[in-house]
Amino acid sequence: MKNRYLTFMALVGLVGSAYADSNLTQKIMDIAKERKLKPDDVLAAAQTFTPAGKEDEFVCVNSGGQAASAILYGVPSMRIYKYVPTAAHDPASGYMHDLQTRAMVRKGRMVDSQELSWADTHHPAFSETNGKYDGRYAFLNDKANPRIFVIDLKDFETKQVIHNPIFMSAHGGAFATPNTEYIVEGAQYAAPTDRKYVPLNQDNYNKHYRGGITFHKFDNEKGKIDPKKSFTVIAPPYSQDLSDAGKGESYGYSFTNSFCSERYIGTGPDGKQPPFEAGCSARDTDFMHVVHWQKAEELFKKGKFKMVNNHAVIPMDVAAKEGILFLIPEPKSPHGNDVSPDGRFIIVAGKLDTHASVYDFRKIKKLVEEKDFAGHDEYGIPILDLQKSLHGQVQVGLGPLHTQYGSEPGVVYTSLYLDSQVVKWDYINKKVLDKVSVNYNIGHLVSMQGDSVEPAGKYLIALNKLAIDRFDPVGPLLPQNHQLIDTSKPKMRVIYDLPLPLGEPHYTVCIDNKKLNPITTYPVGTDPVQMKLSPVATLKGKEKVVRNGKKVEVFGTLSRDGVVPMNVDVTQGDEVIFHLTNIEQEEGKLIKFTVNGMGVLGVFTPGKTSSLRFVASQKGSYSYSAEDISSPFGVQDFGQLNVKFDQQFENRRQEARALESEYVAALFKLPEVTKVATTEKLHPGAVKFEEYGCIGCHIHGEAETAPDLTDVTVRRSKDWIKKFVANPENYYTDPTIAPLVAKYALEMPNLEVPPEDIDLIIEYLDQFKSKK
Amino acid sequence: MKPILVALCLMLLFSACTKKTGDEQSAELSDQFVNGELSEVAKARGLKPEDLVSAVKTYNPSGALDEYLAFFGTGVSGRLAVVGMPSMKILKYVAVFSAEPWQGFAFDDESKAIIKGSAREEIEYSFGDMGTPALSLTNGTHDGRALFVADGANGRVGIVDLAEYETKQIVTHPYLRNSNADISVSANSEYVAQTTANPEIFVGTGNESRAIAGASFWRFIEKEREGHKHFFIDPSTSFTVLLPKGKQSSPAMGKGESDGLMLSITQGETPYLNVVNWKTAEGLISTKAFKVSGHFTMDEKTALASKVLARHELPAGAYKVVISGNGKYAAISNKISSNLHLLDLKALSAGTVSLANIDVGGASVDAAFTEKNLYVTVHNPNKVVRIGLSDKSVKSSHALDFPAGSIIIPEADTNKTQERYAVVVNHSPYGRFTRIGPQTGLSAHLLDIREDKISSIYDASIPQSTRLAGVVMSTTINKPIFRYKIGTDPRTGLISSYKTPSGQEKIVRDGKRVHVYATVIRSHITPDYIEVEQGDTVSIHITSNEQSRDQTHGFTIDSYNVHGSWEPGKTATVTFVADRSGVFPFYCTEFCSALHLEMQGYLLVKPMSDKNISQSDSLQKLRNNPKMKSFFNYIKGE
Repeated sequence: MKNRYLTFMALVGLVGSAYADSNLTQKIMDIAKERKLKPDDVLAAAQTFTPAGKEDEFVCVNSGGQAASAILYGVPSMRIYKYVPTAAHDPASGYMHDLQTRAMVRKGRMVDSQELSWADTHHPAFSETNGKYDGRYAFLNDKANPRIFVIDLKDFETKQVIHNPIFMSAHGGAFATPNTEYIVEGAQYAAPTDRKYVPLNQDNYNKHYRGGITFHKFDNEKGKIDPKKSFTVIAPPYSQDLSDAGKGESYGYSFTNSFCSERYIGTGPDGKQPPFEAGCSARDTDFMHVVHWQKAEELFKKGKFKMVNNHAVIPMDVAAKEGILFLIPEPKSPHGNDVSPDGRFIIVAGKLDTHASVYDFRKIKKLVEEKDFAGHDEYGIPILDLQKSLHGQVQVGLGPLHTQYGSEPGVVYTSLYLDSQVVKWDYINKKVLDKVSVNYNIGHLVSMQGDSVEPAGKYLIALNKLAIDRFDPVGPLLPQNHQLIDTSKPKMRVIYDLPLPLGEPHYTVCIDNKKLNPITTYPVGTDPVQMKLSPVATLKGKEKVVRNGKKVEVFGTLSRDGVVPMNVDVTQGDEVIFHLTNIEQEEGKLIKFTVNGMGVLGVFTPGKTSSLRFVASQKGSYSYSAEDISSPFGVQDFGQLNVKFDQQFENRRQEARALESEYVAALFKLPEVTKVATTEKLHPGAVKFEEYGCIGCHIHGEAETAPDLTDVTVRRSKDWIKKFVANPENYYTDPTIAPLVAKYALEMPNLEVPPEDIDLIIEYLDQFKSKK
Repeated sequence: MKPILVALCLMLLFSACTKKTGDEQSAELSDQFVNGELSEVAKARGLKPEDLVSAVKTYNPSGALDEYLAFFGTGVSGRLAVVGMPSMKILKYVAVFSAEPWQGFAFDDESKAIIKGSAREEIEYSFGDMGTPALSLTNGTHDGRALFVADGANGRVGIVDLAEYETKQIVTHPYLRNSNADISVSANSEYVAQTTANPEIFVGTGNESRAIAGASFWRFIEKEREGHKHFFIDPSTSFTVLLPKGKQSSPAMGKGESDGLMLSITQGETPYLNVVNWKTAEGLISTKAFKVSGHFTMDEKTALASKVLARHELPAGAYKVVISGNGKYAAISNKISSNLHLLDLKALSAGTVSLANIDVGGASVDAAFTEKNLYVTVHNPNKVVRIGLSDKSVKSSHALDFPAGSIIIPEADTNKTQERYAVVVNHSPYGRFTRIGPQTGLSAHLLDIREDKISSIYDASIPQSTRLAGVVMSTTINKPIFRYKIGTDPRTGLISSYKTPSGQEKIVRDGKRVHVYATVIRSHITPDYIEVEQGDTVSIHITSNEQSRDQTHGFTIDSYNVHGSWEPGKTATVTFVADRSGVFPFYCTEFCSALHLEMQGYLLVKPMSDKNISQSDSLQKLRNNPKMKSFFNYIKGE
């Protein structure tokens, strides 16, 4: 064998040199064998491994979800590069530890009286010019405290935070129109537009609770949203969901889907109705909202709007009358509507319907122009006929959520949450082309530049919600799993699993790296928030301390040599502000500044100026230091902050602290809750039923969230029940179980219940028989 | 001749093809594959053959697990990075010293209490400067129980429970307000050692003040409580030994032959090796130490006199000390000479300072031991050298093209190490990765140390880092839980008083204090309708009744800045004042099921006039006390 190999190699040498010398080839084979890598794995390794000095092909901006920050990673290296702070404290960058970023975030507060220290970010969008990503800005929305964040791609930092004046909840944002004229933000959970208190009952909900779609005007010159030129088209309380802006043929229109046209209000004040998820899934269709924003803009310019909370609002009746808002049925509680690169088609993923519906804008436009309506909803909004609007429907699989466009004409990729797959299909010719399994339970997906007019193809990323067993476990809270898929060949292939160690990205957008041109340093004295010279910048040699009563301002400089000044004397109770400037101009010369024991922190990129404010509330001597992060040796020297004792302030401090203790003790007093007396001892099976969480879904006498287990030991044999509970996954496709999975959109999980506990539970269940 | 050769070649190729068909179908690679399909992909991407070697060394196919877990202190982010090795995938950032909304850390009441409890009165800390953590040890090896990490900026220590990857406790030194960011633990986790970095001003018993340094020993205890193993640092039996003033290095705890000793270096023109015998100190606490702010303290004079502290002069430039996992040697790095000093700890325990100087060809930055070798990162020229411990000579040297920082070797802090990988911290990774602006993190450079020749494998990007320092554990002992017993408060490990099983949800009102006992399970929040009055103080105690792996729910109330994360079985509380009337949707924030978006509810806050609020609410009166409010608003800058 070896002789043959050598001869072969020698001969190969004649026809063409081998790629690797035989040593390295053997090494690659040996290591692959040791690590149990198959040829497919090694190919994937070669497709993703990126040595130092080599840049990525694409850069992806992810929403951080509840982590608030935008997460950047590169494709195909799948290296995570940065968490871009938006709404939450980010000590690693000093965000919200300095006065400048605090002021910016505060300015974008939803209401003046509420400080916000986090956001639920969902959908990022890139700025576009002629429908192409232009690499200037990224936008991100906050679902929980409706706000939009504007991120400058010159330095990948947040520059503006603005709030939505009328929504209480906004999921369907941010989406950019083809020339970034507007950033589209759709509402989610309905609430009164003026944010006043209106008691919750069906009548009030129908009459006073509203949704809508906001169009935030983006000033492309200034790089900021202009709230004065923004407006909202009010929509019914249908729980609007995701949006997308039309382009090309559909330029001037935007599309927003919804999932609760049932206008369900939950169990209600009397708590007697079924829960939300049952009520919102009752109807077979919900509504796609088609908004002619270009026409709405004209109305806005003509002054045809109402002001609510200082914001221009186009009421529903005006929108309906003026041909601005139309509704089209969409099955069944869909998620996502995604416009094709030429703007002609809009694909809606069915979520609870196994079809993806392809709408033809040409048909929609014709219906609109000819006023060919199938009817009107209760609010007088015209409804277009579904069949007349469709290009077609394709059965794609269980739980379709989101669609992205590939670079080949007609090719799209849709995520299947329940099937845990990606389906590749042709929306023109309406046929399924390929499916690949993903691990596990994919939410959104992203193709490279997939929602622009020029999808780049090559890769797809599956944003999987559950990692389960894909990585070494790290406790009950596990990372998400983003899987990189090679779409360059007819058959899709998963080539990399990337754990997201912090946050829950909902949605991602990926841009060709060549479109980006970030800076590496700021000119000395720059305030990165304003991107201009800071009024409190200090140059080398100009350091000083300025006192004004109890306010002490230290104008200092930071460099690889440390901090100047090296000594500051203040009095207890003084308000101290360190205005610091990093005077270095070398890429990577970041300097971290802390006042030890005072909780004061600043992180300064080269050239940056920012201000750190604190109160010297306790006497003593505190060391402070500037550490050059780029140096392996750490801090060289430290300065000293001396706080002189002040009796008056000390008295005030002690008094306030005593009051606070009293308040906190009262606040966290354990409530007196009457204990429910148990006159009978609980069946051990009942204890187990609760312990394993069965009680969470299986509520005796109800069938809203899981089958009612009354009489279960009558209709099933105990042996069958035992086998099922031990391995429910073996039964998902069983003809008696599959319909239940479809009904509840849930597979019963394997809770690793030991056999003896299953027996106890069955004993307990045996007690639940219906009365004859 | 040639055509025959070509024909032969083609024949062999052809027959090789047919012969290889069997191979291609097997899981093993063939050289034809390597030089064919694989090399095409590599060439298209500009990869060299050496890169392919690195690629196969680090690639993990879906579901493959890593050999090691590296725990990195990341500096001021306050978050612990958990990285799999050799894939270098970041698995988690565990919140330790800073609030983090996705995890709910310092957003729910229970975890807020940990951060608030570590404040120095009204000075609260929203970050911590984390360096090298320490993993709990039993008989000198990793036991997988806990991880200790210091906050160098504010003089604190945090404990992360490795069964859950959750922070359970933060202790604050009562009077030493700064420390080194690195921390060290004894061989049976009796004590966690923490040293001051900068000198502190210490006010003595006679009210005179002097500058001192300090070495603190935090007592770590494990107890049984309600059938549940509970470990914690006990400040009441912890103590600090004061040292003569001076900038001090990180601590290094002895093991094996040097068990009972802690080493540190007082830096300066004449550096000193401080040898603290904590076992001796422990025995003298009741007689020779006094309490300062309630904390046992032994002053430097007493420490020297009672043989707790011994000091030895070191060569100029010595500044950092690292002890081998078996406790036999200490490596002392030198900033100005090209000599690394190797200290024999057996001799030191007997009272002799035996230093061997090893020329490493430049200033030594950091050192890490395996059983047989010592690895040192060198500055100017940048490289890593391997020194054989048997004959104390340099065995090999590997040049690095970046300023090398600390060196981290898996299990180097234990008495059994494997010579496989090393990580060198790159403080200046700019230009090595895709550029994304001025603000980036540091990089972990992975090395292969299995062969005679040390080789570089991979550059990992570790965002959120202003520092990178780590300790590495084998994944064989990583056995965290996937679920809590229903109703568990993770911070205490006990069943919470607020536990609510499904079906027993309720709303309890006590005047203007409202307690909601709620549950979450796919796909609903119960109750999904809550009505309160303006001015009410509302606590929502949520219990997750899930038990499935990876089934987490989140919760928020729009605009009230309330958020938390509920892992399977967990009970936690969010508290807020409903001071604005209106309609407030609430919902699950962590995608949990197909009907996740429908997992929602409404909070209705009925308007009440200001007059009515303050009259009926004693809690409101306390909260709005002008003296308290104005003071804390001033502190916070509001």
